[in-house]
Amino acid sequence: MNPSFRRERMRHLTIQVFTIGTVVALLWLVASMVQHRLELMGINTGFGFLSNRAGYDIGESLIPYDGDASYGRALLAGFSNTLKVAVSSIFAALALGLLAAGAMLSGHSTANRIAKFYIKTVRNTPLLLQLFFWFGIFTISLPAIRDRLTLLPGVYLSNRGLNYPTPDLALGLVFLLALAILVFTLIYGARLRSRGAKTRLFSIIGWSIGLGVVPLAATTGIGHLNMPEIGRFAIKGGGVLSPEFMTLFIGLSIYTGTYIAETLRGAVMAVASGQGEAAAALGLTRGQSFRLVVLPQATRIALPSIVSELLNLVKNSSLGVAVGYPDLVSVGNTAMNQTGQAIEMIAIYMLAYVTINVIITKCSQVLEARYEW
Amino acid sequence: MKTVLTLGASVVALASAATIAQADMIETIKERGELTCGVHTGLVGFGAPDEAGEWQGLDPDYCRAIATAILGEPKVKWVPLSAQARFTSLQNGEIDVLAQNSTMTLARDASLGLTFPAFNFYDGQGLLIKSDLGVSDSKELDGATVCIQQGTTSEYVIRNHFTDMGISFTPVVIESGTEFFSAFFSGRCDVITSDLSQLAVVRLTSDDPSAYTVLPNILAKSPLGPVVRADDKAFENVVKWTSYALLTAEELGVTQANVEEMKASDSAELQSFLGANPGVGELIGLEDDWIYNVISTVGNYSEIFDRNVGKDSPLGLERGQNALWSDGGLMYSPLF
Repeated sequence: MNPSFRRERMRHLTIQVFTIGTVVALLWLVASMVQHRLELMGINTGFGFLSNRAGYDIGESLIPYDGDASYGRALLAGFSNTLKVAVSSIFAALALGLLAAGAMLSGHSTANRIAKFYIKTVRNTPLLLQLFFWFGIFTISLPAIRDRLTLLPGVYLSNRGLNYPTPDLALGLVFLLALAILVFTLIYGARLRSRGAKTRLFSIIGWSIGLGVVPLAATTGIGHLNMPEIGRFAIKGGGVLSPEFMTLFIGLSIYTGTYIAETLRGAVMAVASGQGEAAAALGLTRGQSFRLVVLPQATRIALPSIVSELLNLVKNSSLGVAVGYPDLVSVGNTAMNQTGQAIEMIAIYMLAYVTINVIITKCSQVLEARYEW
Repeated sequence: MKTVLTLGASVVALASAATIAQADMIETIKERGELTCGVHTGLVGFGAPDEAGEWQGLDPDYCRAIATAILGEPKVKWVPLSAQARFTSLQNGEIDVLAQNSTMTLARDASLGLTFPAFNFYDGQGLLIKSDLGVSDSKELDGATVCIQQGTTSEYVIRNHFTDMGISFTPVVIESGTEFFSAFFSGRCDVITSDLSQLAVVRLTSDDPSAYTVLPNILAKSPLGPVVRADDKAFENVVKWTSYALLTAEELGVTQANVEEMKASDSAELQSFLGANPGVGELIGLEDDWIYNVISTVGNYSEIFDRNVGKDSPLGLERGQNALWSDGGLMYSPLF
């Protein structure tokens, strides 16, 4: 190795060790000061409380939970709810954003106007206000269970949420099988097509098996649906999307959708117009030119800003506290209140959100690398 | 996110609370010229702003009494706090005293670095339900959706109550007080649970009180009172004895109207109680006429009670267990 290069490395290493050392020392200093103060004030410290019995119930959870479980389990249940609303809203926001951006770029004047109205009203009002608005819609405007709206047989909408039938295990597996067959047909068909093979017969067979499996299973009595049943106070059985979840899901998707739409529109506009013209000169159709020339370049421009909007969405999901959605922060606030251990809880919140957002950032880096050239 | 930020700020404040916590609270309040008091964001009778933005209610009157005991006049800075934020605000020194319908529990008294010097209202946790559901006892509530306010003891009390009866329920936990009530009135939940006094207020201030019923079940005791940090014994004593002074004044028949003549009366007990003879102030670091000032500003306990929640108020609550011990209630003051 070249000596000057080695010296350079040595210098970098020293700087890094020194910087990290200083940061760690500072953190340690602050932590020990806080610990000392808390002891003087007679406030409990430490993470031991996580294994104590929580003693409070949570309205909904993706993992099994009841009030006899520990605080740690309660926080996990809250975290599962945060993930549920964050992940579903991310997909909905992307779809909405794509749709609105498409409407604005389409040159169709009505679509353009609707998209502009959507973006202007939603982007210029505070998210919390919008959440209260949606919460009002879902609780005040929707009828009580007795006067529920029946959307489909077994699908009810009331101020207790959206109730729907869920498949039991056997039927669930059949659904999965059907989905797998359809996905296989699509992907393998595309591959065959790209090799120039004729895939018409293959597609017909694939689609009919895929779509036929579920009715077949239902008529032969292999699987059953758990239908929601109307009780005195609640609709039991089946699945339910609570009004709190729908408030947060719809509020976050619609709000973040506007930012994504504007980012996408800006990105498409930022691709030099010569690119499209050059593509046309090469004989590409308008669709091909958009798909093969403009979109890849626009995606590269839009990705970083879209990712930061998605990170915001994840953090904004903590506003669920205001409308009673039991996300990590809501569940954690109760734990904080019962144990008084605010600092520990805040540390857990930070860790949880940083983890989700680091994962999103990593995914986006992989995507960005694909669009490098 | 806002909550996280506030709490984050509280944590930072907590870390730097060294100077606040060790200071002499009574001196600090005198220098500042006002008491900082954490109150309810809006609960008629127990702490709600009037047209002029002044907080009125049982708890705010306790703050006025404490401020008058120390400063000689009821100079209070009001800090409305949610149930969730209240204890953190007190811990980090944002407020001097918290008078916000707070229930005393072992955990709050022992592990938060706080202390409950006195009780100003003996309450119980109950259930409010729509009358047309035809429910007369909590046993019939299997499967009901219950709205609960975050940061209150009701979160675990309600679970214990329902599991003891072997029936299930769905909780909806809401932080904001207004959203909590509107969730009930809009029908999001079948039942709300809170302190009985609070349920009475909510019911009476609704559009049609007869459409709502408070169930007879009392889920838990709920002794309410002001809260202070545990690291200033002298200030804690002021809060405790101000509260006792209000009760003793009622016992002795001292009212806002007659406090002047009572002070001039021949009774040695009254003379020392109201500071005509020295002694009553020095022991807790106040002026000798502090009780006289308190009573002439806010009146005695029965006057505070009647004016805010009792017979002279729209709520018209009975004294019940909040009567003096001599009238069969729980209000009992040690000797002055």
